[in-house]
Amino acid sequence: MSQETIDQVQYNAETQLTEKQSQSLALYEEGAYKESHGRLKDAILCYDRAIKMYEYVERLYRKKLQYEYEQSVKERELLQIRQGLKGVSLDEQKDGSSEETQEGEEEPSEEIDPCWLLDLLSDDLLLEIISILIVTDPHAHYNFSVSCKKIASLSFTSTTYRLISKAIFPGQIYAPSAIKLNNITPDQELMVKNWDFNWEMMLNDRPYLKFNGVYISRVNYISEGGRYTSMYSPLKLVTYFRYMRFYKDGTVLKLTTVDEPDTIVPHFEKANRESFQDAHISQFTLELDGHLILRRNDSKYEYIEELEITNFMKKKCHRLTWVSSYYQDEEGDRKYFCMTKEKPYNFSGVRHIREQDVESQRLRELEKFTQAWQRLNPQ
Amino acid sequence: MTEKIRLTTSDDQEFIVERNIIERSVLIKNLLNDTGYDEDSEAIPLPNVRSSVFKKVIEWAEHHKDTTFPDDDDEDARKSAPIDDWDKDFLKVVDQEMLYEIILAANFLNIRPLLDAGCKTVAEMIRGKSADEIRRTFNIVNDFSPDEEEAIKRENEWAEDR
Amino acid sequence: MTNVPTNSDLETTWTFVEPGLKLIIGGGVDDNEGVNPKMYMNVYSAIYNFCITKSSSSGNLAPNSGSQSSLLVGGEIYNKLKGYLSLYVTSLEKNPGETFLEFYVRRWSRFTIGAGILNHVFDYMNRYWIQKERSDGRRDIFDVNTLALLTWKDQLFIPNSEVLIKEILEQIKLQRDNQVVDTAKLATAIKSFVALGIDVNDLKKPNLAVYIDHFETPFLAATKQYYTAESSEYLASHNVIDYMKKAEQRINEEESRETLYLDEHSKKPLTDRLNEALIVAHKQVMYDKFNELLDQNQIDHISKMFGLFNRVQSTLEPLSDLLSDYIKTQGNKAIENLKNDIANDLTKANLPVSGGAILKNVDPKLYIRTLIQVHKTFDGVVTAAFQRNPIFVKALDSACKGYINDNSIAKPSGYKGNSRTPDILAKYSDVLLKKSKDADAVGDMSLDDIMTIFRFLNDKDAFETYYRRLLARRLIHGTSSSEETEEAIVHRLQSENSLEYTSKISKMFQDIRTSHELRTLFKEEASKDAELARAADFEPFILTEMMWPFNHTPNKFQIPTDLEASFLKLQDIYQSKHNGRVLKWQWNLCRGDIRANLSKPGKVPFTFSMTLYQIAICLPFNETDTYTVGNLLELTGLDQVSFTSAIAPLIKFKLFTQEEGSSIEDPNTKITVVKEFKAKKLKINFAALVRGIDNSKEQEEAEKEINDDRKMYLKACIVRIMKTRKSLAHNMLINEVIQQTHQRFSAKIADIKKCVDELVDKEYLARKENQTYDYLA
Repeated sequence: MSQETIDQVQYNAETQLTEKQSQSLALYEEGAYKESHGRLKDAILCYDRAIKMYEYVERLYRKKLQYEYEQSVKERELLQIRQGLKGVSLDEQKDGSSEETQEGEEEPSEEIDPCWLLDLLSDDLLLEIISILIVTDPHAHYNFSVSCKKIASLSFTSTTYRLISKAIFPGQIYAPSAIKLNNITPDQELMVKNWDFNWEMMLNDRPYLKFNGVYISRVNYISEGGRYTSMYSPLKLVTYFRYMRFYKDGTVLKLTTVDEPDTIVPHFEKANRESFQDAHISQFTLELDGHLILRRNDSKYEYIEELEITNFMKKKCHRLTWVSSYYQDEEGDRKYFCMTKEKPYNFSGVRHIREQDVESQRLRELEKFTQAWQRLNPQ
Repeated sequence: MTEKIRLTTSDDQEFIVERNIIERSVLIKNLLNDTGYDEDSEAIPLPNVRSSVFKKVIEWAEHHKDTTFPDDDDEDARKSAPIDDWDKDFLKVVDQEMLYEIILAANFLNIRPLLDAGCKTVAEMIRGKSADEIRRTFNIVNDFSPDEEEAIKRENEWAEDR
Repeated sequence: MTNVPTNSDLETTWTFVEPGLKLIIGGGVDDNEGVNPKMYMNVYSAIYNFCITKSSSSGNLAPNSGSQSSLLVGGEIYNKLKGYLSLYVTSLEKNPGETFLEFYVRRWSRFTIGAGILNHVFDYMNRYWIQKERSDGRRDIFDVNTLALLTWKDQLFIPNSEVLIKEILEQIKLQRDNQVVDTAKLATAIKSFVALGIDVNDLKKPNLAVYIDHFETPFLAATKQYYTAESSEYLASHNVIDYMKKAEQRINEEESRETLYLDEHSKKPLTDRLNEALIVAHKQVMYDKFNELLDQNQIDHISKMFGLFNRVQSTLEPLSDLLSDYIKTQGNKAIENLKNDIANDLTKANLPVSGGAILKNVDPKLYIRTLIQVHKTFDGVVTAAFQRNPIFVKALDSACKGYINDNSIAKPSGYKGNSRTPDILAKYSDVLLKKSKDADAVGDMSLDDIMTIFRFLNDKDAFETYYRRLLARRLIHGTSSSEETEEAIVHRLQSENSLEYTSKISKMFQDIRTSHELRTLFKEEASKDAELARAADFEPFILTEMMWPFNHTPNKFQIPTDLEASFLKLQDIYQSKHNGRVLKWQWNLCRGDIRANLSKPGKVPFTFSMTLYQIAICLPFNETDTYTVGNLLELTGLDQVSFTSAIAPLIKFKLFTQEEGSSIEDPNTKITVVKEFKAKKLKINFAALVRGIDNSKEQEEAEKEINDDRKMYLKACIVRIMKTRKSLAHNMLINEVIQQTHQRFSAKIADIKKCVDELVDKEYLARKENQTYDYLA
């Protein structure tokens, strides 16, 4: 075997794999397949054998996946070009006007029609429409905002940041001490003064919790099994998940289990608590700086978990990072849990929760609206 | 008072509308009061509104001539309140171009409830669609390169979740 | 239709728009031409187009310069407008023939109309750009109307405010001097100050800063100055009554002026200044006149004075003190006069004049009537002139309390005991409630008068004691004129005080009722027995010992044999009903009627009302005509004193004859009954002629009873307080006791102290260090 390093592992059209590499790769893929079907034990055996056969098999596997993806993207692009669909440009430059792309089109269909939306409506009116989306359906706001450059620029201005702030922050649950210390008020017009009336800055500065989904933390670790730690003794790869779903009444549903997100998330709600083994409900409060504290009591102890809301690259407030976890008794004696194995939570938006929320907001507004309307216009 | 007001649209068509109906337009209402409009005055010009659009606006105003709209200073409440059923149907049947012209006219004439109804109609057309579908619906040209698109998606993704 | 510029060029747009602005805001040569609809719409459209076009082309710019571009969109036009307004306002000039005020008001009226129209015409900019800027925190951007007002304020008002204010104040002064001024102009100018007060942080909040700083403050100062001067001048040459009229008039004028052109905010400060200058500054002069007005009973003038002082609460108390003193003086004077009358009578009768003598000879009716009269008079004044204002009602009450309890009759000089008014009031009640032949005598007396005076008594418990004693006599001797009235007065006393207050009296009434029942029972029983039926009609009174003011002195009186049977029977009946109770017979109070066949033959026999003792003395004479004193003493079992007093009227009126030259004290003296008794009337009341216990002794007894009761009451009160508090400081204990007994009587601190000491001795309380007491269970 050549002395290769892990960085040298490649996978592309020219790659020639050795027997061992191929076999090992095949085994590894088998393991991945089994894992995705919930057969963890079998998967671990496969992985085990694969690694033994070729130590960099994991890296190889990843490279293969990436290559295959790139290939598929290229294929798609070719297909699109062949079909002559508008909206795809292989070149870099484009300016805002839409009339230009009408040249060179053979098929006279709706695609020839100009974009009235952007042609007729002024920015102020587009902002109105965007504002409505922000207040009623954030998902639609996002989708609209990536449709073209103009909309993208309008979607995130001080006006929209203001609306987003007003939609998010009043619903956050702050600890009473934090409220007092920082003069927190649901009136965002007052809060923004602390950031010199810069809505964007306030939105960036203030971490917030998300309610339309579940925070998931996935922990993998290899536990020492058996009496000897030689290369030939079986390793135990343990994977478990921690789930958290926050509610606007200050409670959070928590679960720790080996079950996969697919099986858990679809019905992860307080009403179904009993169907989960060992699901807990804690109370949570926030500090202004994003420090999150969860509390739960049982007959003997109080259980406290402290986390921090953090960003993950561009994703604002996407993560909850562990600070500490402990329990204490009536006298205040604390016992800390060991956190070394724990991993941060990542937010996963859940469509049905999102839709539920939008729907319930609609119903609320409809009721208010109908009442007000009837009062003003008795018929 | 069924005082009649004369207005001329941008394509030189004259309309005669009852005062209390046309006063839905805050612009017209203020103009009538501020200039001391009477029956001897000349017709009011509407340089930014075509007759076909104006017809629609009048139709809307006539239907709502006895409606009292909630006086909502709370802009959030106004934005999230649902569209009145009649308005929904009224705006459903017009094509996109006319819809926007109505919105523009409502904006120009300062008719808040009609403006809200129009914008909400457009918002409904956006909801529930992917970015691609949105582009198709409105004929929006995707002027992002794939990298740019990836980048802007990553940039804006956070706003999707609350 | 003139072509509205549709492009985004600032200059083109502005050039197009400017003529319209001129028409709107005024400033053209012919200012009467208003703006026509076409012009209006053109300006609006031009602004609209400008804002729209600019914003549409800003799509290319990077996202965060979005705010920058919007700054350009509205900002350019905004600044142009700002400049235009500034130019316009500074160009305004006063015409040579008009005052600054006239110029200001004329221009302001036009300007505000123009500003309103401008605001509408620039509506699009207001709605979008200006709102957005303000919500992004820019506090120097305003909607067009506010911008116009601020321009006016900064460029026209502030630089000229002194001249303007000066003219306004001058006008007001002229009006005060009774000149005709144009109040409409003043109103407009002053209202403009209110409109110019703008809070840049919250445009919707009404702000009176400009109004207050520039106008109200100098106005108030000028007002005060003017009226201070005028009032002093006026008082120097006019009398107080006229001054009050003038002050009232001025106040009314100013207050109506207020509603015409001042803001609500100035109402109170103006009133305060007026009050200070016109009323408070000259209050002493008015106070000094007050007594004179009272003397002359000038209700109208007093009413006017009250009206003025009522505007400044703090001035009322000294006035009420003056009233209180005056009433007290009047009350005391009236009683003094009464006293002098009595003294004169005494002197005429060659009797010594002393406090005690006065008291003995004072007619309760006159006394009470005098007291009532003073009260009534001034109660009327308090109603008519002071509208029953609580302060003055209080003054009246405290004054009445003063002279009713402490006057020269009730508390003669050098007298250290309690006030005698309760005593006299009890006597008054007695007169009212006793049967009397002369109906007119009680015609001008009433229950109401009794209660009126009662309420003012300090020593209500004294009244109760005296009243009860007199009541007892009325009940026993049947001299009440009407049971209803008796009950009525008791009810009223009860409602004034408490059930506890009248408990003894109530018990007394109850005893009477029980005794009636007993009498009925006795009659029934007696009718069964022939012998008893023949016997005298017996009216027993069984009295509960502690409730009635009678002391039982055991004596050896023998009931006459004729009455013995009834007496025994009654005893029987009672004991069978109430086994175990002891009856102590008060022979000295018993009375009866006795028929005497001592008249001329053929004439109707006499009926004598006599005390039992007298009857006991008389009955033996049925057997023999003559007895010695010693005999009689033995027969009746009476002691010498009682015997002497009983027989005295019988001898005096010649029913019996006493042996010549011998003393009634001598047991050997002979007493003989006359054969024929001469008298004008057939019915003679010898009982009433018995000299009762000396009045002063009676009084002494009553006083002692009162003081003993008070002591008990104080002790009970102290124990009650200490039981709840467990531990209390000396001074606090005294205060509590005074508070709790205040209703009944005014406790003297020395008395309370004594009671506390006695309780300590008896080990109810323990005295601790630093003057505290502990309750001992």
